[in-house]
Amino acid sequence: MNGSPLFLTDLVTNVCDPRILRRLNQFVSCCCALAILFGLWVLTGWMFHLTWMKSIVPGQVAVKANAATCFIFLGLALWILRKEDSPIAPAWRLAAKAAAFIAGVVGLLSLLEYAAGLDLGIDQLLFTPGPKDIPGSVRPGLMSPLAAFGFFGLGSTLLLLDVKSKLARWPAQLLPCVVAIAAMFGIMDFVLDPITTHTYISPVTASILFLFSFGLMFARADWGLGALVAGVTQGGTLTRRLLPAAILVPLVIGWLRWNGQNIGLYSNWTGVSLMTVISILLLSGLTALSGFTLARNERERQRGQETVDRLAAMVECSDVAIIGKTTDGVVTSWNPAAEAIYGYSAREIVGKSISTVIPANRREEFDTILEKIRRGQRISHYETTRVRKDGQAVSVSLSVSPVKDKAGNLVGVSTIARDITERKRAEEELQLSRERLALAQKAAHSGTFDWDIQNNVNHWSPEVEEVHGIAPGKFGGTYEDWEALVVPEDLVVAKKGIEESLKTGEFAGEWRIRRRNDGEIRWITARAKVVFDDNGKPQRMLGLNMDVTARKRAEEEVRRLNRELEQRVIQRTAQLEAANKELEAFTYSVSHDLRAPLRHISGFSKLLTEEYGSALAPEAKHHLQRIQEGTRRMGLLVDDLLNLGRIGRHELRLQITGLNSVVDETLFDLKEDCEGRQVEWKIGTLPFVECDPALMKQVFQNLLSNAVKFTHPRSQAVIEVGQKDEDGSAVVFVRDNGVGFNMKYADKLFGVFQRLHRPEDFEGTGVGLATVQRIIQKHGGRIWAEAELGKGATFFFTLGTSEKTELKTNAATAGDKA
Amino acid sequence: MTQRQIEILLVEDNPDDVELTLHALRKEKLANSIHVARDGEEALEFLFCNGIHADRSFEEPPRLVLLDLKLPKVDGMEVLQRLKADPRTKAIPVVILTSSKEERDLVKGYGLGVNSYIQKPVDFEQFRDTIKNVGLYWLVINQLPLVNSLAQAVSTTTK
Repeated sequence: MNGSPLFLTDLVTNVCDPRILRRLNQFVSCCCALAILFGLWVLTGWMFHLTWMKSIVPGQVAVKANAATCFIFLGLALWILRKEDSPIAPAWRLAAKAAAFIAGVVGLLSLLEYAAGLDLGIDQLLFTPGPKDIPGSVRPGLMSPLAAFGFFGLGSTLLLLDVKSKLARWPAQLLPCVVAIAAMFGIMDFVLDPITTHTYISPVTASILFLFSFGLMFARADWGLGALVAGVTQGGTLTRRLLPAAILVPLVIGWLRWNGQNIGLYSNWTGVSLMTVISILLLSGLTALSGFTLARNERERQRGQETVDRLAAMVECSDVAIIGKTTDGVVTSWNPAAEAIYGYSAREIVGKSISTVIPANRREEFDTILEKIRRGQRISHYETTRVRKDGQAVSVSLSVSPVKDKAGNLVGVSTIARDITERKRAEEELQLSRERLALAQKAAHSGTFDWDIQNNVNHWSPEVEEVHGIAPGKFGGTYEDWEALVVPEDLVVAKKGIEESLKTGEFAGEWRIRRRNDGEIRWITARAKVVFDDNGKPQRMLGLNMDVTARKRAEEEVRRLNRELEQRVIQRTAQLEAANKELEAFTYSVSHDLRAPLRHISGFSKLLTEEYGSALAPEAKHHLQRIQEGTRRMGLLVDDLLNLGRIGRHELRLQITGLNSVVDETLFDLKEDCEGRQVEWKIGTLPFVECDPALMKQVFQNLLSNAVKFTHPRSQAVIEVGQKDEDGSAVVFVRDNGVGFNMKYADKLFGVFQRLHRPEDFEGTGVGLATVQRIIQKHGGRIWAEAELGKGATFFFTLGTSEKTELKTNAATAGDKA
Repeated sequence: MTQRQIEILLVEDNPDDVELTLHALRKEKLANSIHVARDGEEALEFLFCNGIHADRSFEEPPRLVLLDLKLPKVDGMEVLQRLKADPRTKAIPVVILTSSKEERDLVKGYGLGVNSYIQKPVDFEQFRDTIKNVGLYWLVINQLPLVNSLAQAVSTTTK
């Protein structure tokens, strides 16, 4: 179609008014019927030599038999071909063409007879007419030249009727026009002068030819005059309105002038003048009428255009893509929103198939949509996926509707597309989080419930049902259904909690349930909120049910273990108490019974020395001396051990004590030991600590007497007592410049009976430092020593309440300053 | 036999201790008027003038009781308790003379009204000094009411 002249395109593509089309069809059918009936009538007249039947109008030229036959053929041909789109068997079509051909040939031959003055005998083919049969004829039986031309023209037109080429269409349109004009002369001949004939054509033949010409022109409404008349265009309207007038008015004016002049109503001049003026009037009137109609229609069209423009602007500005397509899916319009969604510009895609944006796997879907549209159905909010120009998928919601013309014919498809990628993503995310929640609930053996209190409908999530041993959806949903599941002993408390929550709005409860399927007892913990209406009436309770059986079991297990542990502790404590008692009894016995024999040995050996000393050899006296010494040492040892044992059992009597005063007391006791010796005491400021003063005195007694003892070989003993800070806690130390010890024995230092020196060098029981360590440990502290052989030793200790120690020190310092 | 007033009652089960104690007292010329009770039961009979000491009278109580704690039959604490509980005997000075120095014994002894608590030193020299000091203090330095007036006071209060 490309490259065709514009007007041709306009003539071809035509939108028809179905009402007019129907009328036209009826007109064509009538023409056919008229031609056939008229032909038959005339032939009948010829058969029975009835002149009135042959000429119809009395005194007029008789219609020739071959003309009548031509009418029958033409009528039949047009009758068969009158509907272009109705299926016709090829034989019928052939027959119609043959009939048209015969009519045309008869017309042509008759014309040839006139032109060449020949007698081809065509006029006597059917009947041999006598002279009276053919009044007013050129030759008896020979049709008039006008009729001959008419049949030739119309026959040719019928042959060309469905040949759709430019070469054929113009003649097919023009030939009937010419025939009609020719027929009009015949009609005018009769109208102006019914008495004498100038054209030798029967007025009836001329009339029917005239009508038949129009019948042929209107037979095809897809092109030419038929299309124009049947069309819904302004041109069609005007043509329909003016054509009858254009034909009838001059006819009437001509008739009036002719007859008026003939009967002498007016002169020739007046007739011409009248005819001219009336013609001017009528033509001007018709022109003006046409002009008004066109102008009005133009205004309407402009208004329509404005609406169209507005609509177009709306389409242009719309957020949604609005796409026009042909019924085959070829894009015809494409708005900016479509460009935004699909990435193609209008220039790129108009004229191409919409399948450009359809993913390969959805082509079938596209066909289905088109099929539906062709059937006249609409598609609303169809969600699918399309491909952008950049290859990305885009989710769209499509509404597809057919576009119809006024006649109801499907002329196109319109698609409205919305980008729903974001919505889809949001939906997917929502779905995902729903799934996650479900998964979490499933994993936590918990689920939600929603109890519509007024209507007593309790909706449980599948997890809650699962926990209660109920198949999904089979719970029942009433308060009573729930009641039936709860273990009766727990029901009262649970219900009370619920009643309470209907006032407070908050619910928290715990109860046991018996699973519906296997009867297993499970623990449920519930938390919920109550929703109230404006009047404070509870409407719904929304919350969470959780299966806490595992936790409950674990708790029960912990309780059981605790009970067991407690029991065991009680047993152990009793055992320990018994052991302590035994130990105490033992110590008691030791202190009594062990000392007694010592005393006796000491006493009697002393008596022996005193009373029989003179009788004894000096060596015997020495032995007795050794016995005395042994018993004394044994006595000390027993006392020290008893003391050590006592400290173990001793309960601490803690009180805030200034260590300086403890040291001072100890020094007083040590005075005797230091007599005759050069001892330099360096006593620093010591902290106030929470301790048992009696025990703390023992600590210093031991450490200081040790220091005095082990500095004995020094001419100038230096013994230092002080405190230092180590990692934020106070450390008290006792330092001497005595004999010291080898650090590799440091671990033995605090063991009972462990001595690092020979008894003849330094006396001692080996219990003192063990006692000190026990006291320090009892206070939660730590004791350690640093020494070097021959250079001296330092003992460090901390007490457990180090922070208090620090504070007390500060307080003491502050007090001193004050 | 001329009943010389017993000045010291020594309650001691161990013969060695008895001997050493007597030896120490003898040296201080205090051993003449000593009676030794070898268990708690005898001590009580002596003090309460019954059993084998039924011939004794409350009129002549000992001036000092030296009491060991670990005794057969009736232990020292019980003797002390009975002695101090009875108005006829509670004025008699009692000195606990024992091997142990257990705190609870000290507490209990003083609680029951003992007049003195002494641990026997292991060293005999010290032991002798201790005995000497105790004897001197309670029998010489310390003043006691007359026995008769004490007995009268007791009888009037018991009446």
